[in-house]
Amino acid sequence: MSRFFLQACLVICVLAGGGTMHAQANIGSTEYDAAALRVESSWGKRLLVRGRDGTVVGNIGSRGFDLSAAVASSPNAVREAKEFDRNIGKGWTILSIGIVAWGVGGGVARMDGIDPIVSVAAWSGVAAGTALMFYGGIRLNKAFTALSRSIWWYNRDLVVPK
Amino acid sequence: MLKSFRAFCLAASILPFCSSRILAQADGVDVTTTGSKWGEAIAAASPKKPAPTAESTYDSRALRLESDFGRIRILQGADGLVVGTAGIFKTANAEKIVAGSARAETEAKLFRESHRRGALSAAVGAVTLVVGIVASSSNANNAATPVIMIAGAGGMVWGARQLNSAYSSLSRAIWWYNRDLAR
Repeated sequence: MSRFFLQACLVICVLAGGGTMHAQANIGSTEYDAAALRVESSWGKRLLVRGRDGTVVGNIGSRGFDLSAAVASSPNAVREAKEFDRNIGKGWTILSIGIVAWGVGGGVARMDGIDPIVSVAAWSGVAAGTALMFYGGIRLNKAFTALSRSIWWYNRDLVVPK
Repeated sequence: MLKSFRAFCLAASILPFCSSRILAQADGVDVTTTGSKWGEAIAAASPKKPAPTAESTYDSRALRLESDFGRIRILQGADGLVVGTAGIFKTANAEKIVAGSARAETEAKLFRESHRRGALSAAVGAVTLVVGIVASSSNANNAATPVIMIAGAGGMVWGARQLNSAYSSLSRAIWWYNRDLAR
């Protein structure tokens, strides 16, 4: 009888142990479901979205959006988030200045009967505007690459046990 | 006889829950057992492969999206191997890239459909708008010209919205794919 009792205990222990191991294997994916980030776009806006339900964390590139805070739990993600912060604001500013310079220069250069010096300045504005737009585009590209990497690292550190 | 029956019951209860089987299932690896001595000999002679961990799986296979001057690139792993690119007129074969995750494949299919609709609509809209602009600045200008221009602009806006929706679907597809790597 006691042998049968011992065998029953052994079976219960194995069952409980198996359940615990299965739960451990699923910890990463449960955290992923709740907290993993991704980017979605809506009417020209890029939104940072969290989890399976798609809770909006913030509007990427808008004032007050803090990517470093959103990915604070992963050091690698924070490093990339800082790279994003360094480039996003400057990228938009340089691109905007470039568009204005290009537009104003182009508008003035098309006017009839303007002074040759003004014409040269206008065409210089167009050239400078083009260069600034290109450079702004490079900075924005760097920013969005860093954003993608930051999210990748953050999601990775949710899944991979530390 | 009773002892043998008890031992059989015990073995039957333990086997399905033994740890190696649980871990193998969690890693998505098929469990194959053989009673042959040849199998044991081959296994002993072969170099042992380390079991894939969550870290190695995610680091080598997880996907991400990066934009590159109007193009979207799908990169895999920590090294950033390019496995697909998508532009306005080029659709990445996302369904193949995220194969293995049912939800990811569904989103990838949505991406392909929305992307095709969006690209077509944006292109037709742009051509219509240009035709309208050319007509308005020439002798062919008439009452229909503004309608053509508005229709063209409308087509472009609708196409842009579809492309927006497509890239959101692609982002979700990659999210689901990476999520299912963890299982």
